[in-house]
Amino acid sequence: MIKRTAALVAFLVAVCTIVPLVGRPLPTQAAAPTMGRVHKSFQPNKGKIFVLAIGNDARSGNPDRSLADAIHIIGINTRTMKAGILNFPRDSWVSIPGQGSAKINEALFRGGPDLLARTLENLTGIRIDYWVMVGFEGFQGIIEDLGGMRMRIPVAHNDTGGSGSILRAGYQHLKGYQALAYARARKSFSGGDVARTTHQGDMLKALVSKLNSESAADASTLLRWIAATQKHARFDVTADDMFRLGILATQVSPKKVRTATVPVSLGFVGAASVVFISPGASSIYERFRKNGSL
Amino acid sequence: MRRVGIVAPVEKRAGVAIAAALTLAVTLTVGLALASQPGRRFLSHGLGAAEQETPPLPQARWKFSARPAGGIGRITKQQSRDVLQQRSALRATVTSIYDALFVRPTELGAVLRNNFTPPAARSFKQAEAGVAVPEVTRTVYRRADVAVQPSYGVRRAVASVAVRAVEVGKQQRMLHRATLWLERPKDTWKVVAFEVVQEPVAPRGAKGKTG
Repeated sequence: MIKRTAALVAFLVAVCTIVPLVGRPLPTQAAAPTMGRVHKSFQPNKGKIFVLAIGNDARSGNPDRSLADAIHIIGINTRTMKAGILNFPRDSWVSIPGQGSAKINEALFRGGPDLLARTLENLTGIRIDYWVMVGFEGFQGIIEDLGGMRMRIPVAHNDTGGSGSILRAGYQHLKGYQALAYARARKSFSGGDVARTTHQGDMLKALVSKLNSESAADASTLLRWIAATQKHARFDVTADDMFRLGILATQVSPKKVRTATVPVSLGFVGAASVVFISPGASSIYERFRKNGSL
Repeated sequence: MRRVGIVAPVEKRAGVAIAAALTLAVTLTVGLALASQPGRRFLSHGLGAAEQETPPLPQARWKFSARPAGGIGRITKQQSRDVLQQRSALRATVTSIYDALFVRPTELGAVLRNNFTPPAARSFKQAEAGVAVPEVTRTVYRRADVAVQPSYGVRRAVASVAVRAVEVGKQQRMLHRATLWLERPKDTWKVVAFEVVQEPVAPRGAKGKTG
């Protein structure tokens, strides 16, 4: 009798205690409003993404039948949110798949952006996800539609005999035509083509910085950048991927973007002046492929 | 013949009475102990019938705008119309997300499922944005500006959202700011990416900053 009573009491106590708590959040954590600091971001890309950026020398006509004046692989690691821009001098002497050895800029002329991408994949071992290509007018148009760009010019120069770029050293706001001239200038720099490709990489980094700061002030900026790219460039990126890559780009801090130019030595093949990529570049490719950044 | 009675024998009735008394005593003790614990004062909210009848706190009115953005050159009338057509759908998406965050947190799971891509929903849940107990928190400012890409079938948009909230009867205030990147793969808008910052702000009139 006593046992049954005790069991009944225990059962009732358990029911009375537990039932009101079932289905309710644990009060210690969930009861207080979230008044602490929260900062979280999420973007839909995963892993490492590599984009080939091509600047061709087409002034009009078919841009695929032109030479590549600017060749850069942009890598982004979405885990670390670090990025890298690897610059290739256009005179780099490389093996072009199915075409023998030639200057790397000829790959575009011989097989379009796809062949240039394959050439770089063979050279570096990096799998390129997308390519974006822009010509002289296109590049100038993009910069104009974006309202110009600000970047640091390392050396004062006067390239009136070449691209027409005349700029003082230091931070400058470049209009479209100035940006194009600076991107093309090489004769007034001792490094020639190598200096030019380095400057182009710096310009890409400056554009990342511009996108980052503008989108922080107004998130809709991204849509304008996408529109400018779609208007002036050719690419193998779908509209959805372009949007998602753009979101990714807004999230990358310019401080986490590093640029590098492949190490080269000057030389000749026949009468043609070329540059040979040094064996030391292999370690850069390896690091870039592994980390998605430099 | 054995009689089956529905009334318990006297000694059994005494046992039940003792059990009932003990149960009542224990329940009262447990209840008082729970109620007196600091930090659990919001537990009783919504439990009692009287409290369930408490009218919901008034919330700030939404200030909402949706505009075409990102067009280079002129936007055609057709594009403007297309953007305008999406205005109510975008408003519904954004307001349902924020109602769930600040007014009806129990609906948050369903709202995230309906309005976010699965990976974005998972990540947003972990952000723990919004408020856990809406009964004591009131929004005093809610604004959403949505920029819509007019080209490519009006399928991408960026929403900038700002919400200010206060804890009723206290000085605690918070500011919530977010950017939501949205896509419309079919008919409904989905958040594919976000950035959210939520932080306490100094009470009105207080000097310096908190947090």
